[in-house]
Amino acid sequence: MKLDKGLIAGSSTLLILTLLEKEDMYGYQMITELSRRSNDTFQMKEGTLYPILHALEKGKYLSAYEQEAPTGRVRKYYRLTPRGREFLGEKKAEWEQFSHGVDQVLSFT
Amino acid sequence: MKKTRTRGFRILRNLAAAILCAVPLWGLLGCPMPTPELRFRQLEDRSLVPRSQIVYLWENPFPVRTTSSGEPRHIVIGRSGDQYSVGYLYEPLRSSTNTLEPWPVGEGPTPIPLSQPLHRNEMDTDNVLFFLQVPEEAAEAELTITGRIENLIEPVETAQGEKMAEGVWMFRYPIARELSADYAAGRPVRYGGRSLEGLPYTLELYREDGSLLWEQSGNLPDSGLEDTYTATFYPSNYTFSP
Amino acid sequence: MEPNKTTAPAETWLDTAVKKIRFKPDRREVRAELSAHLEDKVLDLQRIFPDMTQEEAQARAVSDMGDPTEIGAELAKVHKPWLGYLWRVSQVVLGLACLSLLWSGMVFYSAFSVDDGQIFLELWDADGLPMSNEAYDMFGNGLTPRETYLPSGHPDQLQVWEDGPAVQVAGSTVRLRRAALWQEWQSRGGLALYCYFRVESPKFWVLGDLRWDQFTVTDSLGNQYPYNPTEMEDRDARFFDGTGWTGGGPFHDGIQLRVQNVDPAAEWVRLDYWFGAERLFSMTLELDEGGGTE
Repeated sequence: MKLDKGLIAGSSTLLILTLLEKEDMYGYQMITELSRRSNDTFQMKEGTLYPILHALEKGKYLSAYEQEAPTGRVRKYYRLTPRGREFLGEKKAEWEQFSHGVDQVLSFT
Repeated sequence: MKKTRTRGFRILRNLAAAILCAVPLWGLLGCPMPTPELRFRQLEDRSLVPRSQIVYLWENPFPVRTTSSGEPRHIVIGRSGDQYSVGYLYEPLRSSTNTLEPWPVGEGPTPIPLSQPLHRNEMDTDNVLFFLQVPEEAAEAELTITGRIENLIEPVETAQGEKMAEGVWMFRYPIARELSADYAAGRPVRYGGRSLEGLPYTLELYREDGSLLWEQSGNLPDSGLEDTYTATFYPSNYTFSP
Repeated sequence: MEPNKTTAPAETWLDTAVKKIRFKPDRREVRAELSAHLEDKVLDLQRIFPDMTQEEAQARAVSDMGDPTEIGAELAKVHKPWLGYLWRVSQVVLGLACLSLLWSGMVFYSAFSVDDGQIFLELWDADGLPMSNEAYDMFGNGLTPRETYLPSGHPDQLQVWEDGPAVQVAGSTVRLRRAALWQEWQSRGGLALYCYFRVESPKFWVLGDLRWDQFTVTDSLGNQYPYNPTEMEDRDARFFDGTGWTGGGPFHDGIQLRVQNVDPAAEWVRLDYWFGAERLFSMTLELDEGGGTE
């Protein structure tokens, strides 16, 4: 599936996939969870979440279904697929390599 | 659950189901086959004839009419042992009218008269015959037939052959109403697809340099069947009686 | 669609964000998801800031969503319409195919539609008998195919055969399903041999087509029984013709022959099927001794 590489290459992808690692969530839930965990450091424009979610779904990294949220309304939930888990693992490894490199440069004085 | 299956799956499923549903319709239409080779094989199977080896395939250069007097779209000649099978293939939707005719294989050049006249152009039709097993070196072929048209005393007609494929030559004899004595006398003349059968012939083959390569005489084979696809030419002064 | 969304800014934002998505069902879906997000956002804002008005909450929610044009462009790139169009096409194709199935069914039904279920079975040849033939007993009464082919003890029914061996010919199976030798008295006299052939194939597109004029009939004495479909003047002439009609379906068909004036001294009768000089199949019927007297 041809995806806009730019869309899912970014670090937002890593964050979204990590959110879904333990629990299925819907869009708004992810936004609130993201702020909560990062103590409001990450404040992405909320609408920009959706192109990424849909691209990931099309790429079969996520699967989606409708379900009633705790708020009582029906929402579109996203779930990590096995392929998505693999992809997450790769992205995590990349990130760790990157941040390790940065640390090394910074500590080189 | 809103999206129970992916769109890709549903598309393939729909198309597969559509193909299945269309099968009875295809059957009712006579099971038309997409290519002339397949149609020939279908004709052989329907005629309970074992598969032969396709020797030559002729495609009608003219758009075929869909009326009952239409011409075949393809003629396929297959060979099985010592017999040729000639398949007349019409439009795919008219495959029930396809016919298969046997002709014996001879030693050396073998004539096969067609049971169907073919158009040469918009206006004129010809009685056509093929010669198979013509040696490669033949660069020119001449066929002389005696007694082609009924009622005309000793007409001798020579036609130049056209090489259609290796070993396969075609000869055309125009259906020439003017030559018929009957026609000249004001009587209608009928021509059919088997007009050439049984007639005496002489075949002459020439090499590139013009020298005679081969000469053969005999009688064109006869199927013993009635004339098919007859057409009647009425002279202009003919009066139709009730 | 969505309650509480009476304010223009939210509607405008949503419309802008989804307008580049070409395939309508996709557009509706995405809009609904985004709208649900805005709904949740507004409720949350009102929970956190109880003093905020509806309009203020909506304005704040919309602005936090981001630039609808930019987001719309990204969404359009993800939701390419061609798969949606293909799906629509496949639905239409399936619809047409179902209609054609219905029509085929109607044609088939009308070809076989009879009130009597019994006759339908005969049309389908479930009974292994032709639909009709022209056989007569000594009094000139017509005999049904059932009476002709099934052993009945009738004094003129001299011999009966059933289920001859099957032969594989091209793509079909051919067998002599039934045969019966009768003493006839009426217009012809002499011995008449009725033969009922079946041709079957699961490959309905190549089901064989048996023709009377491609059979030849001979017997052990070398007699020829030529094919002659017209009435013969000579009472003692030996020939065969086709007779009656037979049932069938897409996968099976039949043909019936009648051989006239079979030589009483013959030990067997052989039926050959030809294409030109090539014999396609052959079936032999052994005749019992003492065929037919008065």
